[in-house]
Amino acid sequence: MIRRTIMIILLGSLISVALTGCWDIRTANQYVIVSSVAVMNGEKFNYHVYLQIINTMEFASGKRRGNATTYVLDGEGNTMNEAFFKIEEKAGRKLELSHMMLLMLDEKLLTDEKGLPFFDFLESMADVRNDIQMVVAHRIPASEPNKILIPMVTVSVGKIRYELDSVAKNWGGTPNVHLKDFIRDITSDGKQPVISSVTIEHPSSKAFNTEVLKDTVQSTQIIADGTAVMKRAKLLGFLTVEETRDVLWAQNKIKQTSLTVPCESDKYVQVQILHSDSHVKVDYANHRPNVRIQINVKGDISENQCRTIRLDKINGYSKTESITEQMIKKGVEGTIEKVQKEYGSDIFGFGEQMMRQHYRSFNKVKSDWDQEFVKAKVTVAVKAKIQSNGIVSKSFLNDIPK
Amino acid sequence: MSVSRALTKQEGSMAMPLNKDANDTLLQLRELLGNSSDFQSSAIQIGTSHGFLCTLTSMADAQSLMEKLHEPLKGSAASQLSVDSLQQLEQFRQEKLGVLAFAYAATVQEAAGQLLSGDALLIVDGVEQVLCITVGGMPTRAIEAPKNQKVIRGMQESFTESLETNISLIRRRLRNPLLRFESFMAGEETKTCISLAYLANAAEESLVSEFRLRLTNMRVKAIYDSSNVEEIISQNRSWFFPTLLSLERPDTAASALVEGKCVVIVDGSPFVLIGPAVYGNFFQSAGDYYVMPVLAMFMRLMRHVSLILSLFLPALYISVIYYHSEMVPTLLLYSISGQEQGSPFTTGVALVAMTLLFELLREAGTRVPSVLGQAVPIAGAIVLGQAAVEAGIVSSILLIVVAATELCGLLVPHYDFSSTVRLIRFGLLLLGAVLGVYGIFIGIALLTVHLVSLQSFGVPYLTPVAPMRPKAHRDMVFRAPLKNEDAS
Repeated sequence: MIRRTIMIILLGSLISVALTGCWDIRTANQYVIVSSVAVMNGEKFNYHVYLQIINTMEFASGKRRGNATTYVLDGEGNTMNEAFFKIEEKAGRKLELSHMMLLMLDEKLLTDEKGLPFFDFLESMADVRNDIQMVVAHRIPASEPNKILIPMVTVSVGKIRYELDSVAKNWGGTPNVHLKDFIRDITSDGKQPVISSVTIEHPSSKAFNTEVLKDTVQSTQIIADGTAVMKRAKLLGFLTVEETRDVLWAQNKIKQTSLTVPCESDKYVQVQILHSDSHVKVDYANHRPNVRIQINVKGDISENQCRTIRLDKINGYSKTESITEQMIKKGVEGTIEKVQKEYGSDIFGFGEQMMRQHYRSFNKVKSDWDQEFVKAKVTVAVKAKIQSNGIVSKSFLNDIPK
Repeated sequence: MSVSRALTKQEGSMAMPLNKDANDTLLQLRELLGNSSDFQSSAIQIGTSHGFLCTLTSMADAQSLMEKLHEPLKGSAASQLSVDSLQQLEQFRQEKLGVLAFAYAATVQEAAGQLLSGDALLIVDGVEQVLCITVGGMPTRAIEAPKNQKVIRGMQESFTESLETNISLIRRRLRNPLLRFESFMAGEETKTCISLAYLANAAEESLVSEFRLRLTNMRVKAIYDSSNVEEIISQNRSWFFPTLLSLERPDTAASALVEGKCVVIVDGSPFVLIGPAVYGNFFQSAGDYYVMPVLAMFMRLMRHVSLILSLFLPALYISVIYYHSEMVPTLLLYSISGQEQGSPFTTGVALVAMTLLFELLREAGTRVPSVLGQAVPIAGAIVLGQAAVEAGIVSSILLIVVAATELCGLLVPHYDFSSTVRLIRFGLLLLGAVLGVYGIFIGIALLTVHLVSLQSFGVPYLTPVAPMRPKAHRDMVFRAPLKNEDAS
């Protein structure tokens, strides 16, 4: 009897295993690979979705025809799924969403309230990775970057992705927000989300044609353009690339950057920051939050145009250090003040810092933290340490006979 | 039916003791051998008694017969010696045939057995036993370089088909009085000689007696090769994995003996069997001991890895392509998808077809007459490689997968082990195609359960990993360098 039962269980599980397999089978010639999705306001429906689809024939050596490597399909719908279904109809095949690299949102979509329900779709959809990068298209329709062709780069959104990564790593000009960061921030009490913004320089419909790849002048370029400041799912405005760096500095997110510091009138010294470390302390005193930011940077001088700064003397370095400190301090303080006054949205995460450092006092003020943020007193202290200067310390500028 | 009954009856009379009449004995012998054309008898005269000298011309070399027997017997006809009893025959043998190996046969059957192993029979009238003298001198193949288990540096001899030569090859490498050879005979029709070798101070008595038991318990009609013996004595519960090593290198056999293993040599087979053999043994090559230890370790690691690759690569590829396209690097997926566009078959069908074609090619390669030697590789390379890709039937990445799989499978030094992998590979491929990575893990679990349950002469197949034997790891995947052993 026991043996019979075991046999039945075994057989049943075997049959169920064999019959339930294959249900999600996908072969490579039955789907189209989507590399990015762009969402705009629709005309008849809520959303207008543009998908950049890979023309994979161009990636196989034997089947290359010299056509465009990507193409764009679009569709409208009141829900995202509806729009996707319409695109699937046009493509004639299933959409393979797991290799989506970029989510591009339109400025206009985010300024009204239709943006919020949209994010739920992305998080709950099984196929979409939660680490795809998010960008807002600034001054251009979100559908455009999908369509552009760029020499040396087979997929234009791939270029955006690499550009964001490299700018974030080497200069700090973009927050480089991934979907999971965004979802975490939007649900946080003490932080408002930001999104990277991109724009197109010299937009032109010529860049939509493969002919453009033969030109030596490539005027149309997609570039990282700073930060989109959000209040929950609503877009408030944009910060420039320089301001974005200040925002990142206040959050200890700068890895490397390069500063152009004025030393005389219209003359500059270039400081390469190789290591940066910020400490943020937030407490609550006199009915307002008190934010103290200590930034320690280490760096080299890579270029020096000023004769007054003598790098063969120790005071040349101390002078550079002090002007660098002042510049960083001025920049960070100015940007925080701008965000406080213009947007009133704590994109720096000072609330989160306070929650970690003074949990009880934060709990009292967290319900209207953004008002508290606007009142906050911010002090920035910078300590710079300049270590060396290229390979020649004595500049030839001082040796030129007058 | 009637024939066999008649034979049994006849055999009954053949087992009776011989009588003293030489003519009668010769007649019986002739009858037993059915008056075979290679049976030769010549009358001889020893002093006053007459007798016969019988040989099988096919088993005893005429030249050595001449040297060993005719010369000593030449003068005996004229002598006044009379040989009427066993004692006198023995005395005669001692005087004339001194050092030659001999035996006495008391029945016709015994005598025939000696005759068939190449002896010359001396039947003397008035003696109730037959003197059998080993003549030998059978033509055998010379010792050649190993064909399948080659090494770059090290000994270049291999076993041959002759049992005596093989024993001598081992004995030459182990000049040790404790080296034992025990004889067995198996095969009702073939009467094949089997020799069990072990080193008395190294091999455990229980192991030797287990071998002895299994060898004596063999009941088969015919044995032609050591693989027949292997099938029976390994008492293998596995369809796939061999539990005895087959070797053609005397040095490896000798080293196995020193390690306390048993060696089974079968007459007529240039491959000897070594047991017990565990999983790790199949990845060792004799060449490992003739190169630097680091290199040997690297090569063994490569073999292990390549076996695993050759098992799992096609299954992994198909499951990733079918179910887990998110696991493929993005650019690689573009390329794969591009190649698959417009292909008439799904990846799974193409993969199975190409793997099968490779198997066919391999089989054809071993069957093809050597005159046509070049035809198969060329046909394979062109048909499977270029043409299939250019015709758009399969993608080139799939071809890379199939070729890499086959290449990896060839790295295992023991062919019988690597060939079973091919079968398991198909099973895993099916599991991977139906259930994805989950199916492959089911396959791994089943395979592990199977391997753990196997034993080779009482030794678990996955020793020294399961059960863990830390000291045995010195020569499994690693090869510890040789050192002067401590005197203590």
